[in-house]
Amino acid sequence: MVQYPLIDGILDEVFVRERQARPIYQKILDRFNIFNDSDVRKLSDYAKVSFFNQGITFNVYSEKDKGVERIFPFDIFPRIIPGSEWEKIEYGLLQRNTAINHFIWDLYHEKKILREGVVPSELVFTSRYYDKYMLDFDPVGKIYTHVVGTDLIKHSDGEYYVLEDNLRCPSGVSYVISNREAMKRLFSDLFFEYHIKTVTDYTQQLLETIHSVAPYNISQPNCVVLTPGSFNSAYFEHTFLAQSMGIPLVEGRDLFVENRQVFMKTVLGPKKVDVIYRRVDDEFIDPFAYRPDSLLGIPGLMSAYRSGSVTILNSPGAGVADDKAIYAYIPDIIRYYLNEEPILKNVMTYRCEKDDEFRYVLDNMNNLVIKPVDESGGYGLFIGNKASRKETEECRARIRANRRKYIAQPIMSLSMHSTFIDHENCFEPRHIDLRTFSLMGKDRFFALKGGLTRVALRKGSLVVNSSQGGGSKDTWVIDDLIN
Amino acid sequence: MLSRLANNLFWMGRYLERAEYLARYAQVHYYSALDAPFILPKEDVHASVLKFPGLYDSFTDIYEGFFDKDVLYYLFLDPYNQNSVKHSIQLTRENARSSRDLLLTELWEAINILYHQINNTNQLDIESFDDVAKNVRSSISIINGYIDNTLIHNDVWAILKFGQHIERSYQVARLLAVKWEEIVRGRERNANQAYETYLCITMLRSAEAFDMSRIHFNKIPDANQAILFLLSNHLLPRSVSYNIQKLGENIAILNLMETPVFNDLRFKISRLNSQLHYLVYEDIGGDIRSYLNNLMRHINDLAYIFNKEYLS
Repeated sequence: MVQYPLIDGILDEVFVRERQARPIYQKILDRFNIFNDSDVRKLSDYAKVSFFNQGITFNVYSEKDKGVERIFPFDIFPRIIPGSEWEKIEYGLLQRNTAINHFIWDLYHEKKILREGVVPSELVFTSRYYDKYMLDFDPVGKIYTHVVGTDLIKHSDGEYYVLEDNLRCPSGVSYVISNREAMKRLFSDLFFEYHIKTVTDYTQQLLETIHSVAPYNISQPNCVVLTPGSFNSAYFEHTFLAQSMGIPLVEGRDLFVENRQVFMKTVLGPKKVDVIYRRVDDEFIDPFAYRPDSLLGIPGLMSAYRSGSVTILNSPGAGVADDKAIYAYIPDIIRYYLNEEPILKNVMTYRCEKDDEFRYVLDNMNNLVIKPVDESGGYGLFIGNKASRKETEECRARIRANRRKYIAQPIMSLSMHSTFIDHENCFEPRHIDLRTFSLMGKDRFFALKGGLTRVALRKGSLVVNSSQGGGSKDTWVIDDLIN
Repeated sequence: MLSRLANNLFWMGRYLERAEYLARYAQVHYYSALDAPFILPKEDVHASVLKFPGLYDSFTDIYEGFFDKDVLYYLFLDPYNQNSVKHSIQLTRENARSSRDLLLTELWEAINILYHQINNTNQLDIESFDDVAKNVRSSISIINGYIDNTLIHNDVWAILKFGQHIERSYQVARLLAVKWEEIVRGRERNANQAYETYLCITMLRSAEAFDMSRIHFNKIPDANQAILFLLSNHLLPRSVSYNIQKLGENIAILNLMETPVFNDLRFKISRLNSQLHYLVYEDIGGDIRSYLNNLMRHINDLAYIFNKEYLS
């Protein structure tokens, strides 16, 4: 930490000024100061080998690296979130997700919010994820978004802002738990120094959430996790969740529908399935209802779902509310359904389909982040101050061609955090965000304490997604009073 | 349990057993030949090592001559050999990965570590051969320890074990067939008794049954005794009889309440088990080659019916 460079105008979560750490991090720094660079590298390598042996890897399928397995980079410097800050985040998540579920139910039933002009109808009906199969259908407990990944950033004003809501198949929770296991092995003594909230209860909470939305009158539901298969990049997570919950991991080809009921093919014959926690995107889950060329889905699943014989988590059609153009209206949606002010702030968002905002975006592209409304994983992202003239012009043309598809936000100064950089063999500040995970079941809510802190490992980069060169850190929510 | 996962577990068991058997066979044969009671032409040693897994023809299609380095590389690592130790371990791991949610974490990790070790080994010379073979064998022993001592002995375990027992029965029968051919050829050439004893010891060592045979017979058994020992001793975990008997027990776990029906899988296993259990040398009728070929057909038949009844 001797030559740790602070950057003006950006919040560093560890240091207030050179060599002066925030008090909450002091015990960790005291621990790290015992080590020299070689010790730190050894610890970092030990963690990597541990992840590798456990198979916490993803496959690289490029021509050059054919079949090579890589781990998701893990940083040994944990991030700390004080309990008081976390409490506000947790209330905010509950509020936001409650409102989102009211909103989705309304869209597929009465459409009051559209009729009253709070959210423009055309925005909803042109969304790729608006699903006519969900019209007038009531999922158990009226819950659509059972598993939610809400991405937050901490701005230079010290406030958390919601960057986006992931309401379809958010991934990453297995890395939260694996990161914690690695940290317990590397720095067990620090766990006695800090009172860190557990993350290992997530899978039990997920199972209870799944049980809570089983079809009515089924006391011991047969629940499964549906995966696209072992070639999916999140396959490790799918196996991890199924194994941790003790329920079968199935592929589409293991299931079939008969008399509007779903069955799995077992060695002792067909067995009825009651709840499917699917990790397959909407468009692939039923070739009869959606993409007819899908080999990952179960023909007739939606007819079984609509008959009430099986529950699907998350509900098909839930993605209409995480369209990035709808995101801009979430504060209004919270006010409309809950009559409350939003606890978590939104980032100011310009919608290119509106004439005045479209003009503003085109005039200020250098100061904006421009995103397609229906992409995830950092794909299609345009960052104005990093783009070349040619890239800017190309982006301008893309927006003009399809204004509904793009939103723009000011370039937020994501907070930074001290991170061990392998090739530099030292700690340097890197931008971070936080993916939180929350669960909504029938009459229950749970938020995982902390979540996945994602790190943009490239110097100066704001892109934290693992598919774009990001890494992760263990995230410690600690009790302020005790610590 | 899902039929697809049952299929994965069955093949995981088979490939695991196959990898261990091939590593052991190559190691035993290579080192036994070095201090044989007479000078063996190297070609004969290599031909024997390659014939056991049925790789003689495919090897000679690719390589010219029989150099130690080439033979060992081909058996263990060559990507063009679909029956190499490396390929069997890759398939063990791939099948385990697909059924990972049913397996113990430590079991999966042990398989994954072995996979990465062998996957990162791209060269094999005479000096490193012993270490690689030993590592494969000891890692698989650890994996087998996890399978038997930590998994619940339910349908998951039973299917995995069924794959292992089928593979082991078949490998032992095949080993006997290959070795019997060599014994017959030796007799035709009027080779001395030391040669037959050498083949017999190699055969028993290849099945990891040499020490037990000495304890059982209080001497080194002759060829006929050794063959009968590996076929019908129902207390020897390396015998065909023992493994067929275990197949019956595995199937009983899958069909807890059902009794065998004429010509179904349990019926056929019980029948073969009884035949092996009470086998005497006279039953073979002097034609060991036909007997062993017939036995291998029966074992393959059991695997086929199992596949049809439970895995598809």
